[in-house]
Amino acid sequence: MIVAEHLVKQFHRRAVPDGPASRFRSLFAAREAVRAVDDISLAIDKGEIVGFLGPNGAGKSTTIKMLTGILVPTAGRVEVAGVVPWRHRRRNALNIGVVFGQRSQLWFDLPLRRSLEAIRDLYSVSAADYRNRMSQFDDLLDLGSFLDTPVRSLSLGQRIRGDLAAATLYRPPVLYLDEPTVGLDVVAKVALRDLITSLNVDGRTTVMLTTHDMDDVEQLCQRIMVIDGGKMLYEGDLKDLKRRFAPYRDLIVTPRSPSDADRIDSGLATRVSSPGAAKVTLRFDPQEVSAPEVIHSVSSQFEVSDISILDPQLEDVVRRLYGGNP
Amino acid sequence: MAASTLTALRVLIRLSLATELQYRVNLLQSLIGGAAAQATQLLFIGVILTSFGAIGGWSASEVMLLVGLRMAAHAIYAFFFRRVIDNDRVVHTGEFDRYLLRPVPAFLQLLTRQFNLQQLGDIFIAAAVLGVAVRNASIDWTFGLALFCGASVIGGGLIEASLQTIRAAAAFRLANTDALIGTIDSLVGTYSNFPLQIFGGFASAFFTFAVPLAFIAWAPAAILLNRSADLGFPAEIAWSTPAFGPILMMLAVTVYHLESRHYSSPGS
Ligand SMILES: Nc1ncnc2c1ncn2[C@@H]1O[C@H](COP(=O)(O)OP(=O)(O)OP(=O)(O)O)[C@@H](O)[C@H]1O
Ligand SMILES: [Mg+2]
Repeated sequence: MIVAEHLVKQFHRRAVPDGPASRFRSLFAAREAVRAVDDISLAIDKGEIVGFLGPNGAGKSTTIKMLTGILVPTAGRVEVAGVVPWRHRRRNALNIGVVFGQRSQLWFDLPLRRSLEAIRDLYSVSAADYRNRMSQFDDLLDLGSFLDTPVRSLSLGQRIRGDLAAATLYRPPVLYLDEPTVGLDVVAKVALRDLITSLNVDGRTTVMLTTHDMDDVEQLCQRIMVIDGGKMLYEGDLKDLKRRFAPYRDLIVTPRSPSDADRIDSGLATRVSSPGAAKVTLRFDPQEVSAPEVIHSVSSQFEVSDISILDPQLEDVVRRLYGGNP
Repeated sequence: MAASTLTALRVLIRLSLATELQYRVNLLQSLIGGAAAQATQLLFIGVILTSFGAIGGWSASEVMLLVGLRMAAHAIYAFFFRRVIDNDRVVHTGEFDRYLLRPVPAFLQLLTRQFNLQQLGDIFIAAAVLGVAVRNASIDWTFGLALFCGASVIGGGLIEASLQTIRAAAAFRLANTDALIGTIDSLVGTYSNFPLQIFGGFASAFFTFAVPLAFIAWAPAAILLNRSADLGFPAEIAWSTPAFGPILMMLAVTVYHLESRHYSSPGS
C-alpha cells in the first residue's frame, strides 16, 4: 500500500549572521544542507498498523510529509495506493487522511461543524454516510459537545479529536497519524485507539502512526520502524524487537518481613533493584533459566508475600535503541 | 470520488464568506480603508491633471479614461485575486500543508482563504470613475468596441493578478518577499495610471515587453480613443489586449504550481 525506496530529503538552511544588516547579509550567507531523511526504504501492506518511532529530530515528520505529498523528495521513489503523491496530488488526497498533532488541518475561524461539512462536500460523502459516521464520532470522540465551537477556541485535545474526525470522515484507505495523542487525556486516548482499531478492522485501513507514547504502540501496532538521524535503525515485529533488545525478564518480589528485602537473592538471577527498596527486582534471561525455577529458588529461601513477573518495557527497549547500545 | 472543481469552488467560497462574516467590524474598517486608498489615488491624478492640463498629448478627459480603465482592472484583480499576497504567510505558517492535502487545486484554496468583501468598495468606486470617464471622453462606440472595453478590463485585472501570482510563487523558495509585493504594487499603481509614451521609448518598451503594464490600461485606452499612433507598437497588438491577461494568468498559475514543489513545510 505504501512503498518508499531510497527516500532522501535535504533541507537548505541559511545561517543567519548576527550584527548589523544581518537580514541583508544572510542573503549571501552560504546555505548549509541538512539531510533530514537519508536513504529510507519501507513497505507497508494494506491493513497494517505500523508504529513509526524515533527520537526528536529523527526525520519522522519529514518522512510522513513525503509520503503524504506535502514534500517532494530530494531523491528516491514513493508510491501510495498506486499513486506518486507529490505528482498526482489531488488523486492522492482522496486516498489518504492525515492528522498532525501539532498543526490543525481545519478551518481555524469557523465552527468545527463547518469544516466537517466542507470535507463531506469536497470528498463527496453521501448524506447517509455522513450521518452515520458523525454519530460514531459522537459516540467515540464526544464531538457533539464542541461541534459548534470555532476551531480556534477548542482545547488541544478537542482540536485533535476534530482533526481525527476530519481525516477519517471520508474513510480513506490510508491514514497517517503524526503524534495524534499529544495532549489527549486518558479517556480520549483510549477512544482514539478504539477508533483506529475499528477503522483498521472494519475497513482494512492502513495506518502509519508516529508517537512518543509507547502505550499507543503496544496497543495498536503489529510492526514498528525506528529511525534516527534520517536512517532506518530497526524494522520488524514488536515481539522480536523486545526479544532482541531486552532479552530479560524481571521478577518482582515483596518479602513478608521488610528486613529480608536486602538479603533476598538467587544464584539464578541478578539483583537490579537498589538496596533499601521494599520490593526486590531480580533479572533473568528466560533462555537460560525458566521463571518457575527462579521463583522456586526465591520462595524456598525466603517468606514472600507477593511475586510477579514483568515483561520488558517497550520504553526501555526504545531507549536502548535510541542510545545506540543494544 | 472527488467533487467537481465547480462544487469545490462553491464549498470554498461558502467557507470564506462565513469566515469573513465572523469579523464584521473588520469588514467596515477595511471598506473605509479601501475607499480612502482609492480616494488618495484620485486626488493624486486630479492634482497632476489640474497642474499640467494634458499629459503626453492626452487631454484630461482622455487620461481620466485611462485611469478609469486601470482602476476597474485593479478592482477585478482585488476582488478575485487579492489573497495571492497572503502566500508568504500561508507558506511560512505551514497553512499550505492543508492546501496540499485537499483534493482541490492549491491556488484556488489560496484565493478563497478569505472572501474579499471589502474590495467591493473598490469595485463601486472604479465603476463610478470609469462611468464618468467614458461619458466625458469622445469615443465612437460600436458593439465591438464595447466588448473590447469590457474584455480589456478583465484582461487588465488578470495581468496584475499574474504579476502578483508570480511574485507569490517566489515565497516557496525565498524567506521574505515583502519587498517584491511593494515593488509590484507601486509599479502597477504608478505607471499604469499614465500614458506610457511620456516616459520615452525605452521605458514604454520596458513596460510593454518586460513587465506588460502597457496592456493594463494604456493600450486599451489608446484603442478606444483612436490614439494607437502614440503606442510605439502596431495597433494589432493593442487590439489583442484582452488575450494577454488570460494567457499570462495561465502561465503564472502554472509557475505557481511548479514552484510549490519547492515548498519545505515548516517543521512539526
Ligand atoms: N522545513 C524545514 N527546514 C529545514 N530543516 C527542517 C525542516 N523541517 C525539518 N527540518 C529538520 O529536519 C530534521 C528532522 O525533522 P523532523 O520534523 O522530521 O523530525 P521528527 O522525527 O518528526 O521529530 P519530532 O519527534 O521532534 O517531531 C530536524 O533536524 C529538523 O531540524
Ligand atoms: Mg515530528
